[in-house]
Amino acid sequence: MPQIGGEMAQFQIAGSNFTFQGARLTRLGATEYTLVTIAVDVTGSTSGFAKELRDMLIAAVESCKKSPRSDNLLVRAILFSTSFGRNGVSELHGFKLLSDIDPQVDYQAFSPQGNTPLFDAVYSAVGAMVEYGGELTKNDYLANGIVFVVTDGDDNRSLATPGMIRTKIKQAAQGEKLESLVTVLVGINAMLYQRELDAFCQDAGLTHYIDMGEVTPGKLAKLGGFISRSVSSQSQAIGTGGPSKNIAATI
Amino acid sequence: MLFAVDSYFHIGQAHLNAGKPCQDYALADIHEDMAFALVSDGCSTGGQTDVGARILALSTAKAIREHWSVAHEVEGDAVPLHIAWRQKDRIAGLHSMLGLRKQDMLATCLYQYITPGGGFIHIQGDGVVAVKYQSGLISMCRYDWADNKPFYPAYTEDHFMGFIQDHGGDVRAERLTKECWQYYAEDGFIHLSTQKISLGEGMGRVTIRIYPGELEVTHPEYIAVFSDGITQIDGLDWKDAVVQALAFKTPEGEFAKRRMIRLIKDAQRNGKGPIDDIACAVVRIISSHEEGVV
Repeated sequence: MPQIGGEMAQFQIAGSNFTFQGARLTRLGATEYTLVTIAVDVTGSTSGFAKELRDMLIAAVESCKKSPRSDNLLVRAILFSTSFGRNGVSELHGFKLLSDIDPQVDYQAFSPQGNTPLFDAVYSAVGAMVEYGGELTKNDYLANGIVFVVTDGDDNRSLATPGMIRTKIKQAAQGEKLESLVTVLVGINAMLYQRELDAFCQDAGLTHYIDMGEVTPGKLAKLGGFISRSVSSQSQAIGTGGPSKNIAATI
Repeated sequence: MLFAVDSYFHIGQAHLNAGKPCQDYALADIHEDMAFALVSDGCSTGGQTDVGARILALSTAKAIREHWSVAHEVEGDAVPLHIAWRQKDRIAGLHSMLGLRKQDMLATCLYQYITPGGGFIHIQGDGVVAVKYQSGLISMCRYDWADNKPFYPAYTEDHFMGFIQDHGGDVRAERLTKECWQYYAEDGFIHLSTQKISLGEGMGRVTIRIYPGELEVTHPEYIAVFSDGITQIDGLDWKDAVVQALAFKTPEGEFAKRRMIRLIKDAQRNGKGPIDDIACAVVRIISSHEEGVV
């Protein structure tokens, strides 16, 4: 049950200690929403391009604000690193209307450190989306979702497992909590871990793994654009009964 | 006292299969401190009644807004007559300007005109009116014309002569049935009355009054008008359909659209869904207590 206070309510992912926030339903006037989660790796190894990662996140969200579907998007942004403690996830903000997000203010400079709780990040991203989607669906809203997890390395510290993530993804469809769910794992500077990340993608039942190769500012800018276009596609697919067929498996 | 409004319309299976457009239309708005909500249902054997229904709805909406801006009161029998006169005026002008025929303008109109000082619901044709109270009680009345020949405002063009002849020529004949029920979750449905209304009475004089002070005393939360499509959902009794249509989960924004979309989706899962086009328009009355919270 959500705890009520202010414009955001606190939720817990069923069967776990992971919590998240989402806009109170009294804020939501439309008939349908696409839930978006962007999870960004801020472990020590990303310190060389932390500013570009932040710029990418800001650009992605600013671009979503310009979408004709912007009023039907709810965005959650999280960072992940073992430096954030037990669950390894720090929520910059929960599921919020774009009009309530000011990226320049809400996304302060990153301080990369710690190791990579990748499975926890994906579990938090997927689990929160399924939970909140279920809450929306229960209250007559139509909802679908899209998750982006940007990482430069393989998991080395998580409590969650790929099996737990796969179960959550199945719950989205079987429990009719989300009309569809697209999950995209993006590897940056992660060529050494391509095999592991590919295997994780398969084991966890994620939709796509995209290896972006070596990080450059240009590539991260492209990633921001890819996120925004994919969000737009998934949002336009709502009501069709399935996910967007226009989300590319490459950037 | 504040109001919130919403409306929704959806094509029925019959028209979808026949390649016909949706001939139902719904509209709701807040104008100054008044709220109105209306549905219009085009005759399926008429002409381009999808256009006619929209013209009638928009004409009625404009007439209501103009009336409120000038008069700022809704008491008395003259108000529905005034609105009907403005409808006739606008329909006549527009249909000839657009090259439409009388058959294109055959559409019903059920509208509610609600103000802080009371209001009324006017029934021009057939459909359902329902009120859900803060206690959870729902009152609903269904209006049906004999031989499925409802009254249309467009009949004023020949002073109702054709309509009266179609119904046997006697204005005293009881050709309109009003069937009223009450629903409470603990008690289920209770039949209140079935009333026969004469042809003369049914032609533009079926009005449900909401007297000054009544909103504060009886505490209605939602007032809804539906086209007769609510009575033709496959596998769902009309009374159950009304109860489900008023089971709003959250009252924000497009509250009626969300509920109707879900109702129709569930009905389609369990059967064919709405056979006829369906429209609903709802006024939510926000009590003074909630106003403080809002």
